[in-house]
Amino acid sequence: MSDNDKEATFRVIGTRPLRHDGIDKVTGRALYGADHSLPGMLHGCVLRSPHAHARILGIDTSAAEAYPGVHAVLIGADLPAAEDRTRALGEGTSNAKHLSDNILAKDKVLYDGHAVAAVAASSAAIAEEALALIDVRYEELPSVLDVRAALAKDAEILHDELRTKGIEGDSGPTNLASVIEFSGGDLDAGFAAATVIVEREFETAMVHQGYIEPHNALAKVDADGQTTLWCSTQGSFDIRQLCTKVLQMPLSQLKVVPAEIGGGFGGKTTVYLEPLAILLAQRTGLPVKMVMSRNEVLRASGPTSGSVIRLRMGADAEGRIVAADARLDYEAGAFPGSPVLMGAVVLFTPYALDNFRIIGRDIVVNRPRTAAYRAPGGTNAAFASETLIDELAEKLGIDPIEMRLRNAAKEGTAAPWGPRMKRIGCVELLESVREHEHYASPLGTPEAKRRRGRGFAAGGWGNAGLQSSAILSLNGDGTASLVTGSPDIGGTRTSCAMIAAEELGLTAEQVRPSVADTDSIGHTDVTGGSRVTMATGLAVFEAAQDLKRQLRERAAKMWESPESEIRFHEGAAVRDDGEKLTLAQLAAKTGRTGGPVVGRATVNANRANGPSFAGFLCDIEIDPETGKIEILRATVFQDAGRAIHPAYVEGQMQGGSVQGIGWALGEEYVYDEGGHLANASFLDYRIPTALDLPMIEPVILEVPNPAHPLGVRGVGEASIVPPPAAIANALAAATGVRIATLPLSPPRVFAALEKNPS
Amino acid sequence: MPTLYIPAVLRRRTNGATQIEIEGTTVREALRAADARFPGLWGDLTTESNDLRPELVVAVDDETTDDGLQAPLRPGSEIHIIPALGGGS
Repeated sequence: MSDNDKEATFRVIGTRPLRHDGIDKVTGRALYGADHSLPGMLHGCVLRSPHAHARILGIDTSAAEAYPGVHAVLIGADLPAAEDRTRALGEGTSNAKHLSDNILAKDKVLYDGHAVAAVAASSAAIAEEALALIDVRYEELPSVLDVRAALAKDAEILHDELRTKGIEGDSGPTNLASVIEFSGGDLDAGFAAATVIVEREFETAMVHQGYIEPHNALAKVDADGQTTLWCSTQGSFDIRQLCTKVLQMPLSQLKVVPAEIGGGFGGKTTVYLEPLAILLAQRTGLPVKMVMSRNEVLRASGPTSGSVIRLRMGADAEGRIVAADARLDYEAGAFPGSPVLMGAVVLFTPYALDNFRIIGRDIVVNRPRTAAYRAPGGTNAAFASETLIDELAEKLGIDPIEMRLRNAAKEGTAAPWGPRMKRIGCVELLESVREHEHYASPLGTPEAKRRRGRGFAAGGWGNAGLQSSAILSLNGDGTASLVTGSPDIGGTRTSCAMIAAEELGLTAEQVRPSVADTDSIGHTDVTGGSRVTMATGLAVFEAAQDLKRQLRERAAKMWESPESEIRFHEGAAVRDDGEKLTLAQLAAKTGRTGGPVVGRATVNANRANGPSFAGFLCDIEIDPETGKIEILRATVFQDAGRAIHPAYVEGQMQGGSVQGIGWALGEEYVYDEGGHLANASFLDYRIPTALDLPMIEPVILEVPNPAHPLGVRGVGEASIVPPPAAIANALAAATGVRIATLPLSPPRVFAALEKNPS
Repeated sequence: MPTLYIPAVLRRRTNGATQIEIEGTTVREALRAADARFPGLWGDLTTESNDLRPELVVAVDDETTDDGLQAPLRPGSEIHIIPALGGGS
């Protein structure tokens, strides 16, 4: 039995204790970013472009600067000149000039809502009034709002200097930022061997992460230049790195304090207001607080890409996929950097393919700069691949789960990007769906004219490893305090505390976890890539081993026995002769055995990472008279590797499913002909509410990740990947109509059914 | 001898070859050797300071490694140069 197969010994892992931060959150006492204030604080606001694309001819800020109560006004020229090169920055790579130009436009505005100027004033109302006094002279330019328009001959170019990466030779000025490709085998031979070939062009809409809490920042600069930033972020160290890069400050000059976070879903891994608040605080010598409105969040903070995906797949008579050819065109927004690479990765992750080609294109358009969004790029891609696989199964008369099982990736399968997979749970996941009561249950009889259908889709997500740190301090009474640097979005404070408790023989409640600022813990990468319970949890596990090692030393000292005779078991040091010293007994004596006992660990968890697979099974009912789809029943399946806190795993599975349902049924950025976002509020941007959803039943699978000592896999993202394809497949099962465009909103479904009444 | 798998976008450098066998006890040595046979590969994969480009990672024998160009090779090692894959929420 390997270490990560020892479920029988778990005492805390797998239980469902109350979260340590729960009472503060449900009683309203938890402090989110915008709850922080400082004496003498100024309020900052941002002036945003009313145009989708325009050249800035000049900005006159004199009237705003003279307005009573205004302390400072910034324009793009106030930011330091940034290097136009892609370098390692934050979690991945970033172009400092693009980052800076998005924070405040320099010579051009590139989307409706692009920041142009910022004001700090004695009140938010005065700052808002001062914005109206800033005179910006624009020369309007034609805009390109989607990938087809952006790549059209003679399309308006967003960035004169942009050239296509990943192709041979000089592309000349273009909106095509980069091209990536994965390929293997012989595509022509594969299609020649196919019994059935299907091909479609899919479209998905630009959608927003939809976090409840808007972006916010509060900056304070001391007389010596030392700066403190409070903000809502998924990664305080990444925010520190991005801010100091943009402002060209030493890293050590900035401390970032992560507040409680009201959702991020990938969207709070970059900076918008933070450098402006710091710069305004530097200019005025006073603290500056900035908070986005919902309108600003939707117009100017990271949505994810809309996309056009052309996909052709062939299968033989036995249902084996023999060829797949894909081209993924993703909107990057105003600056390069769509998640098309990850879309290309996710497209066929659940399957073993011999003959394939995946081309991905990153394309700039006059929309907000895209940011990460839960399994970035994956939901778009799976909408295409999981729909076509379903169609292949239908044409071949094969059960859709069986079709997937015949092609499922398993240990040793080469991923499209090269390396072979370790132990994964894709086959187990599909088998669990087929065996679940839901899969064979009757659909029931709808009311007259209405139709019902059942659909399924699968999806995989590779997750991320990255770096984490943990400090585990033994308190004098034998309890422990745990400090990490991972902002807690989904209950990770508690899951990390549970890992420490498991290792130390404590209860979850006896370990007090907290999330530290950048001066108080070692570097820790973002709460992203579903990584915290896996990676920061690994650091906690290692810190607990460090602490136990020290406790064995202390016990040896107290007993005057060799360490080799002592082991740590169930919360006590145990000598070979059966003598015990409990954690509390050891803790009470640390002052006389060498001082405080603190376990520490830092990890690069890339080697411990493991992918997760999810499946979404749903029953839907369609009203042909309105085109409205109602989800009657939904079951989400996911391989967690090891569910440390099953309730939080279930929460991730349900949350990802709900966001996927949002993609499927209603969410989309709607622009008018002038390139203005027409639905920049939650009234018009249609996120599903509890009234739109059935209970989503989660089914957790545990196929341990062999690279992790506890078998943990990340669970935060995979569940958003399959729902749109599953719902589209259910629609096809109910009506015979396949719609290849998201969202499947009532007008679109109604029109499709009108066109195909059969 | 180690095998280097050529990313699709770089196969123009290798006359379409998808994998090549090369000498080397580290990834750096292997890529230098590959560049000697197919000029331009080194420049495509590394920065001006001769580090692996930040958007790339190395996988040796199906394990991604943070050792980059310093990663050791055994005679039958398989080397994949792959994009750094990032996460979301």
